[in-house]
Amino acid sequence: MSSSPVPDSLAASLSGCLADVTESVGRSVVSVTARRWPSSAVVQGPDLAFTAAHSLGGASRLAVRTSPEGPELAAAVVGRDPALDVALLRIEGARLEVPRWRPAEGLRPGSLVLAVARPRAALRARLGLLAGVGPAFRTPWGGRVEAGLDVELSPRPGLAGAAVADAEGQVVGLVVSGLGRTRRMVLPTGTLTRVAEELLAHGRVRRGYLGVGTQRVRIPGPLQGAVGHDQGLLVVAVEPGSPADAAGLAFGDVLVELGGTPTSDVGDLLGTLADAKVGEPLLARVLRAGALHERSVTVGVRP
Amino acid sequence: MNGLAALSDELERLVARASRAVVGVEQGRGAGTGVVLARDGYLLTNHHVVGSGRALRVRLPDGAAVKAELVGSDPPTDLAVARVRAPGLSHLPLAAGARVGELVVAIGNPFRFERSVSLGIVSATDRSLPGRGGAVFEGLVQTDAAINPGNSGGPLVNTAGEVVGINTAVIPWAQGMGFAVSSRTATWVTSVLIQRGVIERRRLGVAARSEALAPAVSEAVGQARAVRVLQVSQASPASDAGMQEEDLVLGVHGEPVANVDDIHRLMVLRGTDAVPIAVWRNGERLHLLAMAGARRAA
Repeated sequence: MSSSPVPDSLAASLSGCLADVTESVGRSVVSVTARRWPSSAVVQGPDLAFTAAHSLGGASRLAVRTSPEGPELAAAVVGRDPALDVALLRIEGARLEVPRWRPAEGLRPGSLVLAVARPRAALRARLGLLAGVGPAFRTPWGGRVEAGLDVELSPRPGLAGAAVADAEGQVVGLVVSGLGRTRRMVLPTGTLTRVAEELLAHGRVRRGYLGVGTQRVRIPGPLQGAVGHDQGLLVVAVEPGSPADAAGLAFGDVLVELGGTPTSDVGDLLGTLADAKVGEPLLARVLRAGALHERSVTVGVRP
Repeated sequence: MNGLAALSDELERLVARASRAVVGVEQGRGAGTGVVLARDGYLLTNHHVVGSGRALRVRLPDGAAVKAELVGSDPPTDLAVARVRAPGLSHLPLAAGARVGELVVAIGNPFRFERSVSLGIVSATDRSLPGRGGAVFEGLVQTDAAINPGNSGGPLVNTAGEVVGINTAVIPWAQGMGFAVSSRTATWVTSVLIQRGVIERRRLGVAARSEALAPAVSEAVGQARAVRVLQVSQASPASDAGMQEEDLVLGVHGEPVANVDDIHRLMVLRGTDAVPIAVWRNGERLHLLAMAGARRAA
């Protein structure tokens, strides 16, 4: 038995393919230094790249490198969407190689994928499995994700802002944190394209705003019939001068419905606000002192 | 104007603004303080100020005395909610939390002197104090602002004009130490009292305390603090669920918990007998289910 690999074995050829994909995708993955932890960004346009917003902290200017030998380039944050944990960077004077982005339609569960990252300038790859492609969903902060890419990767840090590529070297998504510090989420191409347009146009993703802090609470038994469901949102803070304040929502109210959508958890509320138009009046149903009240609130823009 | 004079002016404006939401609370011969939290007249004070069950009167900032109704009371946190029906009341927001070292003002009605104000800093947060009958007050804010008996139920206000705590207890033999129920606790207790008039606490049967996690554990579980189980009572919902001493409680009802108050809050707000609990034991996340029935606060 030979100790060196057989050149034309299946293993060698698979290995060669993986290295080729890593290398080609890697040309569109840059390294970002903003905080203690280095992260990566995936090229979206010749001087634009997407990264995970949490890895930037509060930084508005940062340094980017395209290779270990290459120069350090200055970059500015075009805008960020904390609800999706994504930020768009503009890299000054760069002419980067734009990867082939592939939409989520037609992706098949069970496909092999590669996560390609460039923390600290050097390229790193990790093999994973596309475990499933779920329907559109909302993050806990109300960000809409067009497809639920369930990518199984070993749980090690260093993947923030990495590209997820298919076996042909097309980029299918961006790794962000999304669901807490240790749980990863992969944003699909469709979501990133939409967010890029919004960030380039407005510098942020505009979401409707009420100005309340809430906690989930069980609706008392006798009122569940009138309300139609058993969980609501207890108002624990009202921003002075906010749309909620103007509408007369008060500390201790239980918000049970907004714009015809039951508000059983904060995701329902954020979802309704994300879809609402700014300036649009919405009917809020609230419980106060044991009785159901209706109030009209005018959706504002998050300051 | 020098910096000190500017600070003094600033404090004066803050106190003038905040005082419009501070009322005297009188029951029988006892008197304390309360703070209005909502425009429809819900105000927060201490349970021990209004606990005797006698008729309540509230002294408004303009000096008028009006009748008030007791909405609900929660002895374990020494908080109570009353309501006055008076037009044009000012109210103050509860702060998201207190920071050690920040300037605070205690506003109260001590010894029935109209409006008394003292200045201090937040000396510590997350302090525990033994209460009556073996109870423990948790997550208290400690301040060096002078707090006297009539200050009970009055607000400790930060420089943004938000209530960081409800002044509650003084240790008679200690100098320069006052305690306030934190706004974190007051937020959920008050809103539940407004909503239901009563807090149905559930008992798991554990003694536990908040703990900052070691970096490796913190990274593995994805949170910075959790609650360490010190003791599990026999034949309790916790022991039936398989909880053990030294377990680290990470979450309740699917939400992360940083301290004992978080556990109480989630159990009260969700209001179900079945309580899903995530614990960390020997490097593994386990999911337990405790059956904890409601009991009326004693």
